[in-house]
Amino acid sequence: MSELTDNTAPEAAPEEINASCRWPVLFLFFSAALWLVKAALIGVMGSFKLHMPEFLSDISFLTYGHLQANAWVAFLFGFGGNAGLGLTLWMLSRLRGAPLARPGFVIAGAVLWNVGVTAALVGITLGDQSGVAGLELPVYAGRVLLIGQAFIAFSAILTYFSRRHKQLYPSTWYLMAALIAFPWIVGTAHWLLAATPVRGAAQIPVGHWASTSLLQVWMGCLGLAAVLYFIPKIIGRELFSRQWAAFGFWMLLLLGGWVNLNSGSPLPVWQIKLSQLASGLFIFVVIAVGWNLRQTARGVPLLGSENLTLKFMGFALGAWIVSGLFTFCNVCPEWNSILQFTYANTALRHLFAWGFFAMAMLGGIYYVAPRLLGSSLDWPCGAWMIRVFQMIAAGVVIITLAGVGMAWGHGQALQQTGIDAAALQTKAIMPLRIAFLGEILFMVSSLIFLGSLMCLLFRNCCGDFSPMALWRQIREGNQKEPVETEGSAQ
Amino acid sequence: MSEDFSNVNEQSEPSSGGAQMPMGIFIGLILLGYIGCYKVDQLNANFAANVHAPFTEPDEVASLAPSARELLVARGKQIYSKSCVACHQANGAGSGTDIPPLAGSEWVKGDPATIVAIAQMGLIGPISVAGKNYGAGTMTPAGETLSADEMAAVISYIRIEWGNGGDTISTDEVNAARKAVNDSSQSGQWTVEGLKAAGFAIPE
Amino acid sequence: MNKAPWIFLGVLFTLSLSWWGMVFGPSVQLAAQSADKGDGTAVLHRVGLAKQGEQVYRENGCYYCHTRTATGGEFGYELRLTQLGDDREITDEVLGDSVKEGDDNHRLIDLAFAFKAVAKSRKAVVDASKAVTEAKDEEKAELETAAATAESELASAYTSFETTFADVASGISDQEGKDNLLFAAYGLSGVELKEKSVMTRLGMGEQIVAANKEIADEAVIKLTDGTAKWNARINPESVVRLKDLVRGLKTRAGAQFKLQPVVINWPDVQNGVAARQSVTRDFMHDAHAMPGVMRLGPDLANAGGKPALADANQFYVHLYQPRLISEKSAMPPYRYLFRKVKLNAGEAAPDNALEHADLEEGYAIIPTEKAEALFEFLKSLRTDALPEAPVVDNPQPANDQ
Repeated sequence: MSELTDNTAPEAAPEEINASCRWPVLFLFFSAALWLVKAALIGVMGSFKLHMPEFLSDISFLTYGHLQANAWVAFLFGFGGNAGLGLTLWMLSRLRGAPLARPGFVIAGAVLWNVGVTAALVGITLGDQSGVAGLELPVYAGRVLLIGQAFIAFSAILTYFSRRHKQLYPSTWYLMAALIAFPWIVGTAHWLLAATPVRGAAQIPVGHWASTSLLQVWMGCLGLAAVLYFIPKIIGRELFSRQWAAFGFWMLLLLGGWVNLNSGSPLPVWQIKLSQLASGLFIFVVIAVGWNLRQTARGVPLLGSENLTLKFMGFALGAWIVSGLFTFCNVCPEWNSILQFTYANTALRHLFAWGFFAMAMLGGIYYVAPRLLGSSLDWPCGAWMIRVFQMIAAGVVIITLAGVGMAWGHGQALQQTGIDAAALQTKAIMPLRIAFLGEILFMVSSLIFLGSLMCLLFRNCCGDFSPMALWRQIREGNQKEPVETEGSAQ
Repeated sequence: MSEDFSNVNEQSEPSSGGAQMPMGIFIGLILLGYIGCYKVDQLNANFAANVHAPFTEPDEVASLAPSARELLVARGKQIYSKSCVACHQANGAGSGTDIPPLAGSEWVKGDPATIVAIAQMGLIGPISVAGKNYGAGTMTPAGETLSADEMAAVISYIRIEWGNGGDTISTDEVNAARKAVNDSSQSGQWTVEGLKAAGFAIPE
Repeated sequence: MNKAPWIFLGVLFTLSLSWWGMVFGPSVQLAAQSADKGDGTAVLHRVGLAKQGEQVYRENGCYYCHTRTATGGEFGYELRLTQLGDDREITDEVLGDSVKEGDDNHRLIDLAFAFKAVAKSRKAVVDASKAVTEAKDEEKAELETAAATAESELASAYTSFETTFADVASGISDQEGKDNLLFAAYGLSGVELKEKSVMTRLGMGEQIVAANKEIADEAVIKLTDGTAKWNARINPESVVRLKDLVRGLKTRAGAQFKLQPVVINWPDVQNGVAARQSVTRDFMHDAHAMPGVMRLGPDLANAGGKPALADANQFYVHLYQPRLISEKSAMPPYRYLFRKVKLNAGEAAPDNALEHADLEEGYAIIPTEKAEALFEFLKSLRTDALPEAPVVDNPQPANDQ
């Protein structure tokens, strides 16, 4: 009824929206790229310690325990937060057909957010990690992040309620959910685990809910919003079904925080059974999202597409489905009891974080960043972006296949009696040593991505004085040959 | 169909289509959800906080625990080792000519109300226990420091331990005895005569 | 779903449902748990160094590579009857097929009830004679008759005891075997016969009682072997029997028993990881509960109960340089938790300095307070029996890791 009476303004032109988003969103994207490099670098250092435990071991903050926490916080909040919020703002503006409201708030929030992530990393380095696996954020850093997110959410919610576009596209639901879920989850973790902590044993389910929700609901919503937006947009069709999308959305929100509890957790049986039920029903989320997008992209090879954004999104969707199927497997306690204390959980987290979330975000940034700059839509080092995609894909496949496969061997050894301790340790370490390869690929690709993003910025901001232009001039000067053809091919 | 997948030509914002979900998916959800909830209902151990895998039922876990009597006596032992052991000794033998034994004491084995009354207010000798006379030792009252539950536990312990062969006493019995003590308007420690006068059973 | 505010409210509602189930519910439930173990002891708070040690454990991220989560396994129940109730008929009814006429346990029960009969009659005699002395004259005659009846009942109880004993001990030739039987039955009966005359009458002199006290105290009848299941899905017949037995013994027969879990296939117990599974109350006083992520290193649920931690020096050397203790260890060294002090010539190392043949000469390696705190924290991790999680019986010898 209100659609008839609404006197909404006409939709803003894409160029107008791009311009309104330009600096705040680019700032977020650039911070995300920096944090991605940091996360990957720290991750590689951590993995390397498993090959050479003596390496730099006299420095307290370079032990595996410190590095592991730092790598995850840098990825989750540094990369995930910045990239996710940046894409949220852009997609919301586009989908609501309104320019970004109050960009100043976004800049302030983004600065605060990055201060918060820096504080978190410094805090963990100094020994302040929270002790909750998957949410190692020190308590003070959590507060800064919450304030920073509130600033950005203020702008996002104003944009959301501006209502110029009549239909609420499903991606906007996911983005709204992510905006609401973040303070809810981090606030819960902050109040119930750090500020006024609940009784010791109760921290286990609360910590599990918070870290799982952050992964499945917050990151899941951000990533799926991008996937649901870019795939139909690029192939130029409408999303197959709004109903399917709604079904998947509500099921994800309801079940996301409950899944994947280890069956051997020291908790009352009912909590473990509840989690198994949620893991089992999670298959409906997988079916809903997977079927919807499959029908949308019927006949279009996503991974084999010419379009790199589509490749990124296709891989992200695939990784999310595989990860969802692994979650579904946890309905079966026999399965979970083998994998629960092995590297598998970490490997599957990598599958989700890098294979799904990072792929979706990088694909989005690849599409959005040049448009924000209003320049030619090619990336200056465009050929390298395909390498980023390939290397992350290879890393994810290595970690998932080798990591989970070998972790299975370790899990079975844990179920045997009378096994030799040294043999057990070898089985435990092997998947991590293989995963090291994947971590290196992640690191290299994150460096390339940062480099490409910098090239893009330089080209558009410095024009003839950008490093690429200067380099071209030098080469031309030295070789005294025309290289126009090479230059234009880039 | 031919589609332009280049980044350059931007398509308009996507919209969502109206395809209906098949009924099958709802039937599947209801079916699986029902089976799942049924299973959880069967295996949830009544949502009890103290049932952990591999145990399955509150009833089972309750049966694993030591019996109420064992727990009461074990608890009494703890209290005894804090509050009583200094004078009456770990073996309940008392010491010297001032502190009478609890082991084999007819006072301990006799009417529970009497021993509660003594523990409540303390006692000043002389007193005759197990055929021996004990002098002017003074027992400090424990009524202020021990709750009725604790009193029941420790009295049960001394009545059962050291071959005394008595039975446990309940908190209610302790409360009844305490009421009798209060009614007697006794202040300060008992003497044997005082106990008798207040109507407590005195062993011969 | 085109109304923006509805999406907003719907998301809030759905998230609150998820929150309610996994955060609010468990928090309220587990916050209400009592520390009381029921026997006057409680699950203790960590104090002093051990409490600080939890922080050291956290800030170094020890929980990534070490779990504190001993898991469950497959097991059966041994139901051990320790004391019989008062009613023979109900007891027989409850026990049913578990104890068959003519087998050893049946004889034990016969004899135990003979003990009970004697004790009961003896008490009746004492009460009756007491009543006679206290009674007024006009009632005396009546009470004396009653006392005489009690006396004769006691006499027949003695006779019946002797017949029963002769009957059940008929197959046993040596005195020791007979004593064992006698005292086992005495222990199971749960009666205390203190009067010397009664004991002698039953063939239990003071010295024999002292010698056989243990037999009486430890007497049990095993009603099921260690394979009986409680869980109906696995073994429907034995579960019905076990459940009925336990309920019957508890509520009807008034007997006392012990339900003892026995390992069938329980790797964490068999490998010596822990004595039982980890439960919520193991974490109840933790400032930060860290059940752990991966088992790259050994599980620490029962670290305090392991021989490796009995020797502080060995633990510190392991922390300082793991590869001195186990060659292939992948654990990083925690040298920054130690102070390295150069010793002057002829100076003796302080008492708390590490001792190991392969440590550098001329230096004293001294654990800092953080290392000591970590040690105390690990010492405090134990899997002792709790009412909801008794220590599991493991007939196979533990392969200690």
